[in-house]
Amino acid sequence: MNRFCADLCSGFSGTGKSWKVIPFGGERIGDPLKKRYVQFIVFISVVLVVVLLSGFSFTSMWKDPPIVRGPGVSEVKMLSDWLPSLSGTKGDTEVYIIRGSEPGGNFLLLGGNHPNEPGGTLAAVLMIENVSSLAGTVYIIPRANHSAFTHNDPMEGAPQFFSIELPDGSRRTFRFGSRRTNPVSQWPDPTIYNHPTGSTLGGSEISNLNRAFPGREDGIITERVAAAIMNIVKQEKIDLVCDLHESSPEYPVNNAIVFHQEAAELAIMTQMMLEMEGVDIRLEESPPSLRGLTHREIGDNSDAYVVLLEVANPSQGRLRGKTTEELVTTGVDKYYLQASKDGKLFAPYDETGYPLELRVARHVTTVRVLLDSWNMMFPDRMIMLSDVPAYNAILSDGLGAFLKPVS
Amino acid sequence: MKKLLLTFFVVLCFAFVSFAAEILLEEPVIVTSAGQSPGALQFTVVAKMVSLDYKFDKLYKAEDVDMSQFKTFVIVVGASGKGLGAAGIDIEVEINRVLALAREAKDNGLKIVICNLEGASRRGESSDKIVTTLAPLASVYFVKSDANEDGFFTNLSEEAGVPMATFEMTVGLKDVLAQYFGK
Repeated sequence: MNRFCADLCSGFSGTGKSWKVIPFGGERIGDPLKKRYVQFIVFISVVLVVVLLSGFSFTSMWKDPPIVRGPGVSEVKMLSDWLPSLSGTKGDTEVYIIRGSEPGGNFLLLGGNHPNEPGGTLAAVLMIENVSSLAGTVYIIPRANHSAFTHNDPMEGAPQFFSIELPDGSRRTFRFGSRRTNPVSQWPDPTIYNHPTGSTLGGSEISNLNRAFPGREDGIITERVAAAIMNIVKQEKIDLVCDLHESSPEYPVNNAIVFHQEAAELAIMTQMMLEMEGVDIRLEESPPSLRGLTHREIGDNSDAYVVLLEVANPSQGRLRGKTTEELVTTGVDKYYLQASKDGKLFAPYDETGYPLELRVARHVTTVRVLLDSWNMMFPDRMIMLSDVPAYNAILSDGLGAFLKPVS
Repeated sequence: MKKLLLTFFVVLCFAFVSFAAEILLEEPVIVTSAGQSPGALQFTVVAKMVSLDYKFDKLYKAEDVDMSQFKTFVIVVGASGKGLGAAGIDIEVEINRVLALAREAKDNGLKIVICNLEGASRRGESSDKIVTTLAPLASVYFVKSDANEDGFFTNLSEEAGVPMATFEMTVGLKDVLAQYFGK
């Protein structure tokens, strides 16, 4: 680099008024300088092209893929309606409201807390586009950390988009975002994150929405998003919160319900009912010392019962090979297959992979059974949904059968 | 011939009574976790379904419990990294805690139930270590079937000559409790 700079600069000398050629080693030269001019212009042009292409690629994720309002959606608000300072920022995002024909309890469903976990986002989208409420009100935020959908993780080689084919042959495109808020929204990360609860976390966690709860209304974007969600919980008197995630197959907390201690019985009932439907799911209690997560902070700071769902996603695991759109949608990966044979995984895994249909079907079914359990335990605050896509139907007909075409 | 049949019948009756007595469990019951997974909480939910008289704490310590108040000690095994981390203990401390409780229970004449309620998801090095450490003190095993696919619990049960009840689904524990506690 130094030699390059030396070569580039040694041919010129600024006098303040004009540039003149000065000799290399005391000798005047002509043609080599012309050649350097050309090299310089070519180099700058290439840099500009790369920068422009990168810029277009980077900003291509800034546009939200459409979500179609299903027949049950009665209103779409913005998160900034609960915290005005979010308005106009990348943290602001849609809140879909499905009001029941009868009064009942209030349910908040979060997808896209981590946008590199598309099963959670897609499950929330399926609910928005298909479900109606017979009793109670459902609030769905499919892109909870909206800013983190506007980029993906550098150095991870992950695709920016993936798409799903619909029965009419059209395709719906979704973003494969990042676990963390876009640095365009907040930068740089501190060395240590002084969490609102008084504990300290690693600096990079300041851009992880699921470490930012209960948030700060006057904080950075991620904290404000968390605070706005907390405001929904409190102002709308939310009874039950479910946060949809995915996890690496080698992570022990997999295919699991993580529950706040107040929601223990509800989670256990749900697990037992799911088991009877042939869906195996494990239980994990939210550790009180693990701060900033939805199941801990919303549970501690409100009257809501809170659970978080995990399902295995090979496209975010550390053992994966090439990270392609196909890996995101099929979950087929030879390295995970080997890891499974070696007994290193915490989720069942074979040649069929861990397809997105299965991951979404598990989430949607768990939400339905969670609400069934809720209604058994709290009949005075019923949350009764209709037209929830069935587990086997999602697996047999595919996700496209439950996504609406975009005109 | 009559005498022979009568003798056979009497022996059979004694055999039945002795088998029934061997596996009969009594209330009140004390329940704890071994490994801090939510399995013990699951046990309490099922126990409520059969109106079992139980006391539960996932972190009971031998020095804080009067075992003489109880008749049966249920240890629900399941090692959870999250659970142990939340409790601020490691697996060795956990094993020693539960082992001390089990010894105290044995000294007080309690029957000890080792229970796997979460199936294969709670099999692994740490969970298996807990079970094998407690095995010499076990009176009976309650095991979810998929945790015993390799015969791990069958072997322990047969080696120690103690009974084992298995169930396919978590809710199946209800029938096992009803049978063993005469509910």
